Amino acid sequence: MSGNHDIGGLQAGPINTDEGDPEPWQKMLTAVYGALVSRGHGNVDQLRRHLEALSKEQYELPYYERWVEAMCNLMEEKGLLTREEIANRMTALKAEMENTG
Amino acid sequence: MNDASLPEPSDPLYKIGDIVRIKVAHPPGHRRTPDYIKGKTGTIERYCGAFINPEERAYGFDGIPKKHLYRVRFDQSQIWGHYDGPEEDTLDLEIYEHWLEGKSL
Repeated sequence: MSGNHDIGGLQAGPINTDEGDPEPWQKMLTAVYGALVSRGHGNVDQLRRHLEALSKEQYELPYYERWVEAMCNLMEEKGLLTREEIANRMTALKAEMENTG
Repeated sequence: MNDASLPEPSDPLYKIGDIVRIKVAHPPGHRRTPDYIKGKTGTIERYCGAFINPEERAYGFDGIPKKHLYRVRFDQSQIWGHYDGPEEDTLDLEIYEHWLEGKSL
């Protein structure tokens, strides 16, 4: 095996094909990815590289959460944002939502 | 991803009907050939065109020269140790030329 992603032919068990519609944050994530690519901050091959480089634990996250991890790493690599800046922004947004909620 | 202004690679090495073997190699990095097909033998089903090399583009390089991509057809019974399906079942995979080696018959 060449990585956590390279699982073709392994036993997979039953596949859940009824996952429902994507949640708003999942659609937003897809849009953010499109915006990054359209501004020249990455491409599908770079995102795939980051997906494949995730740890085994991270790679077992649900599909869109795996994307989040890979995109954070891509943005750090590009020097756009750091994990710390992202975490700080999430804390601030959460506080804002609690105050207005 | 095909930009007509980019230089074309040299001519394709393989043609439809050629028998090819997928290289057995595990280089680090972003690779477009799955492990289960390495070392297996198939037949060129079609030539798909020349594309910017995603294995280079994944690292921010331009991926030039473009790489020839082929659709390679394999017998399912040859890929898996215990294949229970019909004998005539096949599997098509799109493989870049640098992952192929000619098989002498």
